[in-house]
Amino acid sequence: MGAPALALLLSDARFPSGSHAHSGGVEEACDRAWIHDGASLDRYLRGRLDTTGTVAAHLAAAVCARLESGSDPAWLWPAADAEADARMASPAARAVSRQQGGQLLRTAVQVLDVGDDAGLASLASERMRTGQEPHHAVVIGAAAAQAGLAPADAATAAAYGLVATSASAALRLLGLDPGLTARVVARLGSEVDRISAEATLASMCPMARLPSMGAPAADLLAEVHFDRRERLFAS
Amino acid sequence: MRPDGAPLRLGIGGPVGSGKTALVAELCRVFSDRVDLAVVTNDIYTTEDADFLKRAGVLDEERIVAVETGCCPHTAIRDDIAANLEAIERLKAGHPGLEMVIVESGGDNLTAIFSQGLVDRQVFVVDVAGGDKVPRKGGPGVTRSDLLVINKVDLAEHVGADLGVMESDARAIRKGLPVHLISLRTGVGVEPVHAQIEAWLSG
Repeated sequence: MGAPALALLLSDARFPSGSHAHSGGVEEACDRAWIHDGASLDRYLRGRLDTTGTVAAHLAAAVCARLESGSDPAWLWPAADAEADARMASPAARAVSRQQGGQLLRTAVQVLDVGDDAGLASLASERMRTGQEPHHAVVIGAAAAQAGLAPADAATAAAYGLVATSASAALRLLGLDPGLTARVVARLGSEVDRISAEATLASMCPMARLPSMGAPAADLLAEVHFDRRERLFAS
Repeated sequence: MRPDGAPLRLGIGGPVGSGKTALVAELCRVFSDRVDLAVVTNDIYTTEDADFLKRAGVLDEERIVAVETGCCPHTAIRDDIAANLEAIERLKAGHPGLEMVIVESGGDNLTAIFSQGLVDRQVFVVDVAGGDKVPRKGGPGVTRSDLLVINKVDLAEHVGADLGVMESDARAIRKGLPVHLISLRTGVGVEPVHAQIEAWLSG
């Protein structure tokens, strides 16, 4: 069976959850000429996929799997939030993740049929209770579960979303050939699929055991970017 | 206050340099002493327009919020309004009596238009110095906005623009929607714009 239509919708760069204004560090990397063509974009994105992309995919799959197996949201939301928080060394990256999570939650609640059960509705209540936006990967997992999708779909949405958002930012910043940019994304497809498969296998492990790789350079870029007054992208 | 108690969300859009920020500053000066208002800017570089408004001193700093538009200002006001909605929510939370939020788009092209999910009413600003063909060229902002403002009429003689042509083209293409010719620099023609916004504010 091919990907369910709702999985395509959630991963679509046009899904209106604010991602178009995020570059995933690409704006800073382009300013430093670390990214300047298709090959350097490919290297940057492989680095992100192997670290922060892998972490996000696993968190999203774990949240989705737990919602499907009926975990108690009163336990799940604080636990997932703590695990996500602990995996982001940069305060700027944490803030950006919460901003994207909040915007995705708002959009997903509008787009999907939300009851008053353990899914997105309870995550929205958790936001009210804590006064804090949930992390992006957590909301991806919750939205996937709400849409009736599988943990693999949640993982793919997280990993593919990182690649697609960053590639689209590079296209806009550098004026790259759109066909070339799409080719970079296409060549990373097998990496996205591999990470999604691993995240699916690990989705019911204890959350503390999920991967926790960091990307120090990306963290530093996020910090510099956050402090910049004049910027095109929010991250 | 509008009948439903929600603030009027007013979009100000238009091409680069047409006078959007000048109009926002003017509206802040005219309304801020009697209307509880705030501004969201959507500039190319985050804070350029917000900084201008703060320097102009027309509104308290905490009532001016800038959102990033990712090199694509029209996407942020039309295709994906999440960041703007979040900014408005933040302003509403900080200012519970808010009566009007002005959302200024980044300088863009004639194809830009605000999403109905983001604003209740929208003003599109073009200017005489951009050439008298602009209204005829059309585009959703020119044809569908609730109010079209043709700014900088004081420059018409200097740039060889025919105001009569601009006005008749605009009226023809807008099929009865209002058009005002003004100069924000000299103050010519601005009263009907104020009156229109006053009417929207009362519902």
